[in-house]
Amino acid sequence: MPVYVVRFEPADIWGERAEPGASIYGELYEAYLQPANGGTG
Amino acid sequence: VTAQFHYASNRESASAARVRALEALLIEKGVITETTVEKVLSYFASEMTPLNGAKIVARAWTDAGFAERLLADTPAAIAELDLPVGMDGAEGEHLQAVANTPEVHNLIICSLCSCFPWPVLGLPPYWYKDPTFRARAAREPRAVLEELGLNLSPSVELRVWESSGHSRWFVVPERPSGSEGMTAAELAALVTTESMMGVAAVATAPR
Repeated sequence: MPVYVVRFEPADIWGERAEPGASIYGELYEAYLQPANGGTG
Repeated sequence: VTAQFHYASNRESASAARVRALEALLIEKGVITETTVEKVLSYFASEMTPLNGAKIVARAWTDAGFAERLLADTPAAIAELDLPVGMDGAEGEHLQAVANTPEVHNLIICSLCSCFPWPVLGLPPYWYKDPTFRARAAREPRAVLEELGLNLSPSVELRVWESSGHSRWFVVPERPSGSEGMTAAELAALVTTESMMGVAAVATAPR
């Protein structure tokens, strides 16, 4: 199964406590992802 | 917050005892021999070291074409170099290099455990596995870098790479000013493990 490197904005993870000016990259299996443009994949 | 990161002070000796018991059991059952663990450890200690990473970085600094290939397909570029066998296996299956620039700084972490690019950086330093470092480097990486002595300008974008059982990241640090005219071997001697983890910059003279 393909693995994708996904960029996360810290504010989406930590909310107001996020430290600005950084982003975090994690890997996710395709099964955990949904198409961004409303498709059903 | 501190209580969340509490751990027993003897956790290392407790783990070591558990590992020794497991090793003894595996030997008793004939799964491994009495020298298996020692052989594996000595391979990691003597062949998979940060000297490999330093050679790769020095080559990238002195050969723009190699640097480009290193970022595009890290294992293939590493295979061009004369490094010990096993560089593309055993914890290095999906090595991926990321390069620091004046605009972007990269930091590698493993918030889950201790995933690390063994073939190019050797075994991780103990603090890399520390629960507090793992949690804080994900949550407030700039603050952690500052405490480690690396002050990033607010205009520099910080990218934190979460290592995993699948991918192992390592950093190509910026070539230090004052290193013009140095040979690849001289440059490699400047490159530290910490700089390839993204927690330090490379300096031309030891600090």
